[in-house]
Amino acid sequence: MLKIGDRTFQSRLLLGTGTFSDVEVQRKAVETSETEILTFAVAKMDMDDSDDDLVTDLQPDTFSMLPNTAGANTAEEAVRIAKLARTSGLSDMVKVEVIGDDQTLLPDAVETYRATEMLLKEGFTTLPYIADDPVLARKLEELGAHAVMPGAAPIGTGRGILNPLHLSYIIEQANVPVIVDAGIGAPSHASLAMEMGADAVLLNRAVSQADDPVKMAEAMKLAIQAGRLSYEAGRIPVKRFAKASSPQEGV
Amino acid sequence: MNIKVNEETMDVPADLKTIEDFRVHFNLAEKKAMIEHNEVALKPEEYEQTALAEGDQILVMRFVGGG
Repeated sequence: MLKIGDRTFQSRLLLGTGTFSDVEVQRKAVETSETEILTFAVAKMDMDDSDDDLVTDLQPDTFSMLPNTAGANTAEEAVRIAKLARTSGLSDMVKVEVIGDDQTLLPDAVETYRATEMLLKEGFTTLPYIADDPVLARKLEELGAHAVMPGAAPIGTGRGILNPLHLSYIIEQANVPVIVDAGIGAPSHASLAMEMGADAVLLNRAVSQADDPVKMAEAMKLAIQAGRLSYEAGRIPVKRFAKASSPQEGV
Repeated sequence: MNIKVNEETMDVPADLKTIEDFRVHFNLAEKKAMIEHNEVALKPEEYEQTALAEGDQILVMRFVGGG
């Protein structure tokens, strides 16, 4: 069971809703993934246009909504976006996302920390997106963050876990959920994160941009379940030399 | 009356006295809009008592796909 703030979830897959090419494919992918938490961005409305309402299409009642603060470059901007999102009445959770570099889209540690501090004072359930920095993760937990979300790799790169050592430090020290967020490309990446003991995985493009997003949603769901089962089962230690599985005597 | 909507100047009818009037005028109810008035995010129950005046800045936001 995944516990974030005062909520509990069966699914350990958080799914982003960006860059799906087709609303119906998205709906099916979301359903197949069995996710219980969907992320969204907040953007200006086109006053003349009445295009599809994503939120209504995805029936927010059946999911926990995790709005992000994408577009924010400062803590103040992130707080402003989060406050707007909360007026929807759909969620008091927020993925604190303050980008510090346009090319790598890596998060700004200082502004993310400040934003989390401000949002906690405003009563939000905060899930800060951070680089794979164990010190920052610890400091955010001490501050009161409800989860930490270290990136596996830069957003949208699909490169998987670039620094498993740092990620393992974060997982081992954390008393709040560790949700690996960003940079996941393949089910093996998601499974590895879970095998290592991450509490959940948040991904978006790995599903939305796959040739068959619905099938990939299923693959990710199974990979995350498999990785979690492995973590709970306790894998065998890595050895340098062979260890026979069959008896060596009496054959 | 000139106000700024999503950072663009807009001439709206002078009989829009409140944010609620503004919301109805632009059919925002159906669109699940979130509204910020002069940099303050408004809860839906605050729309009616929030007066709209010349020069006000309004942001009308919505949820879109994102990761």
